[in-house]
Amino acid sequence: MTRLFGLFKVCMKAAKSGQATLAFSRRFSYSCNSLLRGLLLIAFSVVLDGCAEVQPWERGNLAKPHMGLQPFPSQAALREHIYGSRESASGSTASSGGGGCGCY
Amino acid sequence: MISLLAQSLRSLGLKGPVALTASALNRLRRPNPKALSLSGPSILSEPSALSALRAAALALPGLVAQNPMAVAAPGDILDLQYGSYKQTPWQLLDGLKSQYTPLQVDNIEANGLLTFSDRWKFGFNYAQDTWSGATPVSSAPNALVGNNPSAAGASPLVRGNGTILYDKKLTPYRLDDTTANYVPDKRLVQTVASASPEIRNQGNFRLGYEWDESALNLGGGVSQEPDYNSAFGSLNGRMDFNQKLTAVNLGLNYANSDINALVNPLYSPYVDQSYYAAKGQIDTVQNSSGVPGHYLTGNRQDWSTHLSVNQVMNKDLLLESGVGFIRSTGYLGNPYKAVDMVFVDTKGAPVPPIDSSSTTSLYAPVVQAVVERRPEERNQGMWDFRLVQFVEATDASVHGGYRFFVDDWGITAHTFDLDWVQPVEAWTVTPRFRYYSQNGASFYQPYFLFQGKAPVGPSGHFNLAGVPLNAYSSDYRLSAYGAISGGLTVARPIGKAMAFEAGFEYYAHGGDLRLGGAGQGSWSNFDYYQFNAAVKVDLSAVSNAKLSAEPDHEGHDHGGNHRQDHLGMDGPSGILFNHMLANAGDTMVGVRYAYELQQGGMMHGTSPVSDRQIVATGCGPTIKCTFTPKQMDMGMVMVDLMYAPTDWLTLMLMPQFMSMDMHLRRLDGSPDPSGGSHAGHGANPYHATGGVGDIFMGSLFKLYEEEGHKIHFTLGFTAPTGSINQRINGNSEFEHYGMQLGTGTWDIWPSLTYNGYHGDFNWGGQLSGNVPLQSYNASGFAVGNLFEATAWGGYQIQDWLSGSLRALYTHQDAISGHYPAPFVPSGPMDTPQSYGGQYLDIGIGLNAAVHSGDFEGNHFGLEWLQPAYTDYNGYQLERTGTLWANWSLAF
Repeated sequence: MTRLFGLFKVCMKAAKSGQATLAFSRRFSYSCNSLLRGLLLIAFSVVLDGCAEVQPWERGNLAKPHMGLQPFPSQAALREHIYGSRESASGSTASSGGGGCGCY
Repeated sequence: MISLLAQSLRSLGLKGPVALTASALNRLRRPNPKALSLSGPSILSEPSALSALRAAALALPGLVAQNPMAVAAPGDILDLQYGSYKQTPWQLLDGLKSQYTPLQVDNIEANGLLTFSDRWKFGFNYAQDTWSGATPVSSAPNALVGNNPSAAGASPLVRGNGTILYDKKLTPYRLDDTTANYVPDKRLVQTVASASPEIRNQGNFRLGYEWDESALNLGGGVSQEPDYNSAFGSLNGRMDFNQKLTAVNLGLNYANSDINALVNPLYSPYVDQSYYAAKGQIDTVQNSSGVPGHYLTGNRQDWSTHLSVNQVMNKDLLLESGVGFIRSTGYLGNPYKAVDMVFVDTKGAPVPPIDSSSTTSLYAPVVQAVVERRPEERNQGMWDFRLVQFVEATDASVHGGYRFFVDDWGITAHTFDLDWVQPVEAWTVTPRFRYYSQNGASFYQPYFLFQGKAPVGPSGHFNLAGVPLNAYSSDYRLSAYGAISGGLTVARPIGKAMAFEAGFEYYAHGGDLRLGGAGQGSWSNFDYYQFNAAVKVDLSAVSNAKLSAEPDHEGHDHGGNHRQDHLGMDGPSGILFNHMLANAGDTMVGVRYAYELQQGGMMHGTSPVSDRQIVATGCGPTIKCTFTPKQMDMGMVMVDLMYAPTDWLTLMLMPQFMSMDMHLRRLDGSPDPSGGSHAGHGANPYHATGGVGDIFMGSLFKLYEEEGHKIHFTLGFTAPTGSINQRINGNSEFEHYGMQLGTGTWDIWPSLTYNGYHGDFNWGGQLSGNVPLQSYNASGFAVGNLFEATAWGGYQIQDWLSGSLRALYTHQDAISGHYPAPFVPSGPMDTPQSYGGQYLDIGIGLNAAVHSGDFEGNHFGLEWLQPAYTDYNGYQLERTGTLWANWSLAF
């Protein structure tokens, strides 16, 4: 567990530096890759086989506009605002930073 | 390589770029040597595939070469959206619906995302909501409001009318009309009240910096509405790992809000406010009408944090999962909600039975309405999971999500949603489905029933402190229920750089829809329809198009047209239909805002008028006026959409969105206004209206053009999409004529415009008219004919900045017709004769245009129109002036 945490700290430092050379970041990103893969596998192992390595030339489908996590962001934000006014469970506040009411 | 580019763009997590990157990608696939000519002839001779590859590589963040003709980054967008929410009438009982106009909200929003110096991102958002209509105040046993079915919900009878009784088992009994006897009635009903329309404005910004594999964003904003002011800030960061296959997002938000709400005067005397009064949260404002206004004040603070991970699982599947936590403290209640507390003393004396054969002992309860009270703290946690799966068979994608929510108020909720995004040729069609279920808060009850005597204080009045509850609410949103909604969104790109989206949704809230059943009864059910439409402009596509335009081909003509374009667009901000688009195929998007303010003294003709004279003659020969406006303002947002199919014809569509408010005051020496619609508001009523206005459609025809001069004619119509049925408080009195959102009639709007320029000077003139094509609208009136003549001169101060000076003459006839009886004017703003007049205004303006760089083609204008001479029809509030501002982008 402490080793995992240590790895995580190393990953954070490497990401922050930003000036790292390709080799440097590849080495560290490989460590981070295995750490995150481990965490996600724990979370999703029941449902899925696990991550596949997706090469850049294989990312055609992922690049399609409708494959974005939210293809219609402003509409989604409006609907979430309405749901938030009509229901008790708050939406994720990461989108607009919360605030405001308009709580009709 | 191209897909790597797209993947990078998407993983930047920017709001809104995704739908438009397809066009950027398409451009890069087609070889376009000019667009890639960054550093010399050797690049032009490369094979086209390699050129495309290089462009893709260069466009990755951090790798763009220094380039004087830099393009706006992919993902830079401007988005204008309109939304409309309409609830269906509240259900009362036996299929009876509330007579009040149900809740309705109109929303307009503009947001944009701009990139500076490749790494800095600046985002801004402005939104305005206007809402009106009826909402429930509380819920109560049906028997409380007596046996008159039409009275249920027709007025907020939170006090009841004394006809409810209870038996020993605490079953409510209602006095039945037909048998004149008491019958059991366990039904519940909402007590619904209507409120005047209110407008909320929100502005927020976001500043972010992008590194190669991470980003940091700082944001903040304010939201303002008459009873609720909020300021908020946010910080969030994103890190990408594993060649951008994995992203981790962490966000932190804080909001601080002040509440200052007027407890509805129609039921305020009957609702116990002692808990908040003892805490010093009730401000009482006395006024000369003798009706005190109680304002419930409070402050709340909300902290929240959210952590999420996105992971690309395989070439067709993306997963996201996150956790969040929110902590709220302070005044977390709703100042417009109350609860009914009913105390039944079964040990006391029963009421004498009406029918001597009746054996059931019935007891008269003590009923007291109390302003609701919620805990001062709320901790909420949530976990969500989302997947996006590509479907090869139809080139579609499936989006599914689940969210689990739990808080310390006893509420747990589940949300499931499913979208199918299906491209169909140029369109994208997305059906969607959502299911939501929650169980109720621990302190929620439709009403609070106690067995025993009502607690009274030494004076014999109800003593809230004797009630053994720390929190109580009858807000149906805290009850147990489920909700199902379904809808459809369609989207389509238009031209090179615009896209259009529209969506629709129907939502039904039902107690029995709760997961596992056992929700609140159907008395609290409601449903709503929601519609939205948006126009998006891809700013990077615009500047790419300018890059790829071939300057040597157009040569001298381009120079001439260039100048003409700038000339046309740099007319004063307050002039509509001022220019045509120069070339066939040109498009223009713009937003224009007008703010008109009236405040000060009342005027009649060209001179001030006393209150006494207004009281005597302002409302007609027989009625005495009681109120007059003291401040009025009107905001109009107009979206200009122009397209030129040929170089002598430009088509234009201009939807408008209005928001207006008016502060009124009592007239000195006026009689008591009791019984009128303003009576309940105290001495200083305030009204607001807002929503969609009339939509303009027209064509501009070029009549004459030569070097230095251009004349064009505009023929247009406005369609009566703006409401002329705005009311003060529910279904009662009509709003003042000037507060309606449109004319209610089809109107014809012709104009003739002349533009001239020479060197650094430009000038022009315009004659226009606006005439209703019908004698009266559905509310019985029609606005007066309008005629305007304006002339201006401008001077180029810098090559990007010009100034203008103009004069505007306006002649507007008074309103013809009038509201149908029984409409009783309470002031001159309610009389058709007090509208229109002759005005002479002087305008001073500034225009700025971006000629080069990332944002070439953007034009901004600002103008202030100062009244110089006004001859008012009837009695009107002094005009202070009008501010015009506009932005436009041609491509």
